Amino acid sequence: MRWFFLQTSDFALRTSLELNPTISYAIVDAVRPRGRKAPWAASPSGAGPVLRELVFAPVAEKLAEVERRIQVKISSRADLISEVTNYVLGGGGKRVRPGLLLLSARMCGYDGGERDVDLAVVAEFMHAATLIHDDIIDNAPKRRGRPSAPARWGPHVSVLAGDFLYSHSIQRLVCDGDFQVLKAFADATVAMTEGEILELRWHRNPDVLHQDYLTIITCKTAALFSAACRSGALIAGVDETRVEALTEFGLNLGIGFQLVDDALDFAASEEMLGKPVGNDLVEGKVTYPLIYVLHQDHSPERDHIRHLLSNGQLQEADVERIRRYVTEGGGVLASVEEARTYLRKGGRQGHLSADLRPPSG
Amino acid sequence: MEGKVTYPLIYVLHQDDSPERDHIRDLLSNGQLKEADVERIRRYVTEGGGVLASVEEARTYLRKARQQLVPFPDTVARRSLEMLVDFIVERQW
Repeated sequence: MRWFFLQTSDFALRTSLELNPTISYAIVDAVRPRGRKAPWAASPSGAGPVLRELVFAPVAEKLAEVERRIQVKISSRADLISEVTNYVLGGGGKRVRPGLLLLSARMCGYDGGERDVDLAVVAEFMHAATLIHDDIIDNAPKRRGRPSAPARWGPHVSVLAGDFLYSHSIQRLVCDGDFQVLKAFADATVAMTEGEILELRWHRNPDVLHQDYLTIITCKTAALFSAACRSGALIAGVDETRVEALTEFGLNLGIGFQLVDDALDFAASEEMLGKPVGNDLVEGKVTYPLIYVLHQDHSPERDHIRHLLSNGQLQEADVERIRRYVTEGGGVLASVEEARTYLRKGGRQGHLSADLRPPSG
Repeated sequence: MEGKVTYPLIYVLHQDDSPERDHIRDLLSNGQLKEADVERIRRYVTEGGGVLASVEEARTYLRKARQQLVPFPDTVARRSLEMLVDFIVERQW
């Protein structure tokens, strides 16, 4: 659970208390717990707050430009196509693939203009194409809280809109003119189609093996992550070793991403933990999430929690009660917000303080 | 769930030899899943450790991903990519 953020925010809190004893707790804007995945999956302006403000901070301006271009209607002789693609692309999304491409390019020292932005847009177009096709195949009524494209326009129009996004992406890559980049994305589109077919083949089949599953998610998800990272390296002109390193990076990241996504499909948040819940509490640490809620809240439950904290050994049920009190009171999100505020300060000069690097796992 | 058999379930089906396993296999192969079936499968997977196994498996790949960043100079972009790796597992909230 949010372990890194609890630690980060705990650090941020202690540091900001040192720097500023009158720390303000009024930091939560519109972000409230809305169930799993919601806060950053359903953000209308692209990436969720932490991704946008923290992870993608070094490429924030570029990403804003990507977002602007994504929202521009793609011109087409068939109006209906741009209507569908615009609807799908405007439905939010974390813009992970564009972010990856931009960060990879930046890490490799790219500073040669706007190719990174152009290609980041392509990465998102291709992703959107897969989403449309997925929704047709899965017969999904909703996507990101709104009717899916096939629910709105039917499968015929939708499948063509997906095809259009793919081929339009290829057009843009041809205009970019770099065969290596074109090949990276072309390979990814082939893999994504293969992954989708393999998934269908194993549909509801309990004999599917670990290896089959890995092949599916590698094709379906990791291939495009990998192409995005690889392209970032390619346009920066780094040596082949580094291009390959970033290609592998994207592949592993994508596999990890999909594994977690599939785990989330089964799990309530509590079950996700790789570490015991409420460990800080058992150790008697009162960290920012709890401080925040105690500060905000004036209910009788607050007094009960305070009482629990001051009186000796916490039982398992107590820990669970406090944990729920904190999450339901918005303490975890407040922590993330606080971390974000702090990191924004730290990142103003273009780099984060080394002390704020997340613990390497 | 949509009938996709993903790692958490694959893991538990592979580990388990109980009669419940056969029942779950039957459920999967035979037609439409009712809400109660889905809940039963969900519980089977979580109680069988499928979710944690999946996250562990994810961590293996994410560790590799982190490793691949090592040759790059320590810049803010690299730190961001490292953060993104860590973020994948923690992205619950």
